[in-house]
Amino acid sequence: MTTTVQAVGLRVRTGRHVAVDGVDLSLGAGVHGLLGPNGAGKTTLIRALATVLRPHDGRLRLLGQPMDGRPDLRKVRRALGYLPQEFGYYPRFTVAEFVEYMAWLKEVPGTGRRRAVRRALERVGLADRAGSRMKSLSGGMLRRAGIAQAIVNEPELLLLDEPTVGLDPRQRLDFRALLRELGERSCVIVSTHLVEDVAAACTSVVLADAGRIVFHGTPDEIAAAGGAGDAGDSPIERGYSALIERHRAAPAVTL
Amino acid sequence: MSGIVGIELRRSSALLAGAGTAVLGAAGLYVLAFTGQTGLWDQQWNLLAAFQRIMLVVLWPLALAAGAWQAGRDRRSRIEELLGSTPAPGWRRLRPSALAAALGLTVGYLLVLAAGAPRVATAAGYPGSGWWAVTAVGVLALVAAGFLGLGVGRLLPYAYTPAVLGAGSLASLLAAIEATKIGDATKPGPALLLPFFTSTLSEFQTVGGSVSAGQAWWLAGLVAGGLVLYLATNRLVRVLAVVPPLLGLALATPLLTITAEKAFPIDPAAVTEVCTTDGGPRVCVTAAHSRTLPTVVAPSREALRLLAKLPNAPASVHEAVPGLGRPQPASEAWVDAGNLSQTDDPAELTARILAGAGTPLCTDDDESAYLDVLRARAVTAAWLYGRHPAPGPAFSAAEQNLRDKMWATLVAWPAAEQERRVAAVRTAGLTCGDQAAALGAGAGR
Amino acid sequence: MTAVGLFLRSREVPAGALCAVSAMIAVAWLGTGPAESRHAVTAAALALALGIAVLGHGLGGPDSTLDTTAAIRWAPRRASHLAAIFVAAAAVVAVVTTAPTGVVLRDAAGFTGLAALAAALFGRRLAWTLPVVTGCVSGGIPAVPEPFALHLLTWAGQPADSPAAFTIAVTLAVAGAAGYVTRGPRRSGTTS
Repeated sequence: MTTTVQAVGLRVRTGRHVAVDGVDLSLGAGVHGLLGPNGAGKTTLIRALATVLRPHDGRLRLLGQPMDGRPDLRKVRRALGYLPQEFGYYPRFTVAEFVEYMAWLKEVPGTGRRRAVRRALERVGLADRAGSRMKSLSGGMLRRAGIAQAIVNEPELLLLDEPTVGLDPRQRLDFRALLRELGERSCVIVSTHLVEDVAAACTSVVLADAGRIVFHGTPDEIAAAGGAGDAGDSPIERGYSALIERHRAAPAVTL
Repeated sequence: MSGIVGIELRRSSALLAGAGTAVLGAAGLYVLAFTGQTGLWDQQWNLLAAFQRIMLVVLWPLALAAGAWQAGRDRRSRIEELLGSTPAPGWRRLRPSALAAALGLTVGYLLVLAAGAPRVATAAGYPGSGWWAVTAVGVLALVAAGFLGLGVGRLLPYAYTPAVLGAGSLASLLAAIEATKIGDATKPGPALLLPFFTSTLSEFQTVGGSVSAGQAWWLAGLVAGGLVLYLATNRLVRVLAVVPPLLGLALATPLLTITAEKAFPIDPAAVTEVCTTDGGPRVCVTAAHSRTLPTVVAPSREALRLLAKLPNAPASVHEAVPGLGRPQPASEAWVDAGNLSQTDDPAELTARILAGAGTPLCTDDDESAYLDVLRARAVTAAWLYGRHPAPGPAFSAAEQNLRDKMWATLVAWPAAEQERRVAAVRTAGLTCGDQAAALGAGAGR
Repeated sequence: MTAVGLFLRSREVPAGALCAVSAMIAVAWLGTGPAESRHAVTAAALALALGIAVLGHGLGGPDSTLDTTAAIRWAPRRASHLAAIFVAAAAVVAVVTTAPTGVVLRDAAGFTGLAALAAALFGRRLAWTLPVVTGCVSGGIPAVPEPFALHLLTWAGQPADSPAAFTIAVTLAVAGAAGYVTRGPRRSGTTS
């Protein structure tokens, strides 16, 4: 299995604050949940993986390309899908136009572009709203349009920052199925606060706190880490709380 | 990319800017219809094209503002984060929106031309030459504004940029007009660098080829500079954006360093005479006014009949074009070009031809003398017409009183003396002499 | 005082006021040269259009939908905001320009109304449009007395004693103020 994302001692700054502080990570195909409390550096890590932020220290390889020096960003970005936490869009564009525009920016060849747009919209269940203006969409539809633009180029590395915000329970079920399907051949990294999404759809879970990786394992391993005394309503929630607590109690430990 | 340009055309503000241009421009053309001043542009394609260039004084700053507004879209939509993760380089991403802006403004400008076209098609007899070059340079000027707006809007992505660019550029351009007026009026060079014309053309003038060529270089330089500024992805390229305008200026300067006569020369085809061929006394008008010939013939022949009282009477009527420098032969009666289009009444037209006994007005800067000449010419016309006042517009009581006195003085003289004086007015008119002095009937002369 | 300060900061007024005042001084100064008063009037009109267009950005907050849910009564505050824009713009331009004060007051009122109208119709980001378009039309076309249609279009450049220009300015001021005070800026999230 090839490694899509490989980070060694990765540090990323946002302003003066070091939001990602020495992360070692190696991810291949599959769905990887990125869990952690607010301010853990999840968004900063995703932005660095999306090539929006440049790491200031450590080594990062994306799709086999080293990101230091003068990397061939275009090649990496062509195989990249990204849904930012704050998803900006052109309000006057229709959904299909917006996704087509993003497909063009991702250098999807012109011949297959329309077909790729239709397929992406079908996969997120927005095909019937393809002609609606972006500004007329509800929050959940907007999020799905954002997912559609992220997957329109069949990315090898898909970065989704809080993709399930605004989705209703039914849509979240569909979304989990989509994630599993995408994870069969791509490396999908999903940042979220919703632990049950992770449990249901992810093949591995990365737990982050205070700019560091606390734990990296399967959902079952997280669930196993929790005991009856930990906070949470489900085994995986209890495991999450236990791992974060354990890390905070012994901050010197690194994995 | 064509599909993306289509999206940009439909969804960006480019077409809106074009529509605004078209509406404002068409309104600017037809607001003159309220006072019957559409003659400023509807007589020739050339005049329409040049009048559109004058209207750029308003449209140019607004296109600048529209460009700056369009450039701020990514920032307003907060989409920069997402765009930062895409492989397409910035210049490639922005190209369709620049193209859409150019298309929108071009279509808007041409729509103004189309709005004026029906009127020109019905009113103009002579098409005028070279109007397409005037229009093409106008399009270039408007696109330059749009691109400069895009470029500056991207360079200074603030909410206030469009407003400051729009009103601020107009203020600077108006100040620039004042500055060019201070210089030598016979050398219009600096004024020709403005993106609009500052005065109207006459029906006989064209825009000189070297003016259009020079302006095209300069404006194309601005277009390229604006585009480079807009598409630039780093500071070095932004600095290089000044190169195309400077290059354009360098190429334009020798072409635009010319006298006013060469900048807006008389169009030889427009002043070619079109004459009657029916065997009667010849009546000729310029090609620019060829459409008026049928209505001019009868009043002109009536004027020739009345002029026959004089010794050495003229045998034909011709339209006089100012600035040609051709002396008037005694065998011809000349009428000022402006008088032809001023009236539809045959009797009044006859009286206008008779003014100064068939000679054009030879203007003088001194205003009191100028008014005296006008009065002398009117009294001459009345004498030849055989009625005072001759047909024509009414004057204020004071003015009419003065003319009445001159008339009374003239007709108090013996008949031979009257005829001699009127003949003297004609003789003075042939050589651009003082017609008031030649009549010598009042006003202290 | 703190509340007023916070209100102004929430609408980015301090930066806008700085930009507007310097722009108004610069443009109005352009018309104070050796030229006759017609240029002073044109320059003053353009200065006011520009300054008020910039100040108009403060007529809405970053989220006007959120603003409408506030408990305070907006109408008097909106009215005083418009009055403040009018007074500030008129005062700055009147100090610099050589144009008659009557013209400055008339144009300031008209352009304030236009900015209010644009803010109510298109939102704060486009509040500049109507003042700038009208200012450019008024400033770019020579302010002739005839035809009447042009006289009305160039109202801002007409001499102080023109009743038609005065009527236009008052109409714009009243219409704009009424629309803005009653409806407020256009809800955010619907303009591109």
